[in-house]
Amino acid sequence: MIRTSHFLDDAATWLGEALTLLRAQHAEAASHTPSCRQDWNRMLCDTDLVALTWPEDRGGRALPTATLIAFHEMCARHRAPQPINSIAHAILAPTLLMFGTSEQKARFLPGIRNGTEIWCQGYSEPRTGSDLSSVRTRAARQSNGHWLLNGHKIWTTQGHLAKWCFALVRTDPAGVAHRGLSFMLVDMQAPGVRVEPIRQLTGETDYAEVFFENVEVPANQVLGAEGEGWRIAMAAAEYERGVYFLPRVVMLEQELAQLQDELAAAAVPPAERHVLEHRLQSIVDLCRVVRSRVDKVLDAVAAGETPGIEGAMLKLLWSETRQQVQEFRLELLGESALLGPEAIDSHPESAAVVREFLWSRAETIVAGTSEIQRNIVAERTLGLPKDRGAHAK
Amino acid sequence: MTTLLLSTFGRLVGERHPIAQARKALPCDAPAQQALWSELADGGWLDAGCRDFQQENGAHTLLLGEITGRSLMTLPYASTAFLLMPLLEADARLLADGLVSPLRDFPASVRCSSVQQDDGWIEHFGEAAQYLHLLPVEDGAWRLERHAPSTVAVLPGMDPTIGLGRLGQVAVTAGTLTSQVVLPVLQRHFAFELAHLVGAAGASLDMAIAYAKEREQFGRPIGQFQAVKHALVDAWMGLDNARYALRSLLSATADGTLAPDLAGTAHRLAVSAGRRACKLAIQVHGGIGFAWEHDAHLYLKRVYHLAITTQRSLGLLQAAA
Repeated sequence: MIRTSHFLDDAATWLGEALTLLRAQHAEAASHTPSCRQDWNRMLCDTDLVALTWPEDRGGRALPTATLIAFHEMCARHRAPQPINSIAHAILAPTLLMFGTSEQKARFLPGIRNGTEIWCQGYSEPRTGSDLSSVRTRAARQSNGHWLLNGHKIWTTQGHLAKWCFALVRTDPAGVAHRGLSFMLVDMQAPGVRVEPIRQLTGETDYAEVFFENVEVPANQVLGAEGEGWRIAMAAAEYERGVYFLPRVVMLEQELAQLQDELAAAAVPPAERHVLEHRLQSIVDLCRVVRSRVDKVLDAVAAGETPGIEGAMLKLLWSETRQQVQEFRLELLGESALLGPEAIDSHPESAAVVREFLWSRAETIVAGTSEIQRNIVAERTLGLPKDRGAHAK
Repeated sequence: MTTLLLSTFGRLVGERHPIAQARKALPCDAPAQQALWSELADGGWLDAGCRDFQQENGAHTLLLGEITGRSLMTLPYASTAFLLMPLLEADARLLADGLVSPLRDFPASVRCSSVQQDDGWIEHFGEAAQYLHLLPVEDGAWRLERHAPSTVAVLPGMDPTIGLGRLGQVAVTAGTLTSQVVLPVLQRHFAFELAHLVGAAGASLDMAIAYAKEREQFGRPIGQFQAVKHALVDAWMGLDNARYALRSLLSATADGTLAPDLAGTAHRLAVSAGRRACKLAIQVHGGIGFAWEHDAHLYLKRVYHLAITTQRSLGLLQAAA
């Protein structure tokens, strides 16, 4: 029983026991697998360790954001997996609470709360990349008031596991760039939805392509007003940049600690060790700055503000620092770096490092490329002219 | 003549061993691999590391290596043509004693390392290949050990285009060679492997450059953005720097000079530029570059694989100096 009055104490006790149970089923090196993340999601839901900041009349605990932050930090320190439905909790739920109708909240929040409905995010499209304003998936209003959806989404994380998708869709064919977009909640089991999993270079399948072919979307599954999609998507992105970035920073700190141990244990000549330790120190310095930045962002979030430009800087710095940590760890493996991620059974530690190195190639691409983050900082903070083509003028 | 030579080799490898072939990770006994091996042998390409070929065309070793790298060759061409063939040429007893099987029929995978580098990983090409370990022993002597294919344990490797094996403790048979014979050969083989690395990285970067010209974001080709354009230039120049270093190493090798210092420079430049180019290629391609179906990861994995195996050879060259 997790009491609201002693929430963090109870949660800490529970975490220790629950993770022992989870680890009996899934090794720590398998924390990223969908089955492990699904099991963990279920355990959190069954113990009421979700929806912490939601209002009580929506099944939440109405805890302050600071407690949510502390809980996420605790989970990350215990090396808990990321729950499978974290996209729904991180992005959709706060967005629904802010923009949803009473009917929409009643329909969708319980499925997220209970872990029965997994969500995916239908933003990216072929050729749009990080430029979400060039979305081409379109929906036309029918005579019965419903929408007819046609288009093609890609890089949809767990699209092949999701029951629902929140998608950015062009509802005004005359709308240019970010105008004329709407935020739609699409049933992945509806006729005309086709999902094709994508295998990524780690050999795993976490993404999918999603095709919409004459999919009927009821009028009450548009969130906010028609044409308001861009504003809602941007607000949703702000939630993601805040609280839910924290576990990644804690993970980075743990990976750095592993790197420090690995370097200490590595057999390297004294002259080379000096160079490697210097390199390590520069990464340690970066990680400290990442921590200072995430703390600042979290203070802003806890105070009810949005992280804004700090979020872009944090994402940029974190992703590139993580790549450095993983590359360093790979180098310290020596010859064992010839192994692939599939060698997890015979060489779990080495295979896990190789997997994380390969995975880390995506960090500077997903959730806004480093190029885009730099543009944001250049334009908004330094006031430099926009790096844009003619269509956005 | 030399242009014809290179275009002939380039066409043979490019047509018979496109990247789609590399993806299949076929063992040596697959009919397509056997057919290509026969053509390489019939064309005299297995002699490319030997004296006559090198005297006439040694300057083109770099380009031959780049061609095999661009195609992500999944046959043990480098260790056969640039290591064992010249060793057999220098010491015919290796063949006569049966330590090495005829290379025309049995492509050879060789691990070059010292006992200190004792992990025993070797490239694995199936039961039809022969597996050897070349290592320094004492007082200028080197041992060439032969291992039975059945004793090589197979493991999942990072590079999905070639198998990864682990040599057992016990060799079937062994012979001895002198440093005078081994070291110049080892140095040329090392340079060829680095050329292969540069070729793989170069092919990856070429894909990214082509993509940057056609792929549009914000209404114009992404190559128009300096963030992309300049990064591609830096990566390209890095690879070109490596080529200069490799040419210096190869010309020293042609003179019979052992140059561990030049070998170190070539290794550092080629490995760092190669890794950077392959990582950039994935970044420039964005999501599509992270997909298994795209070739970008195959190049990345080959480059990272070779960075390790060439490190062993570099260690041997430097220790012998």
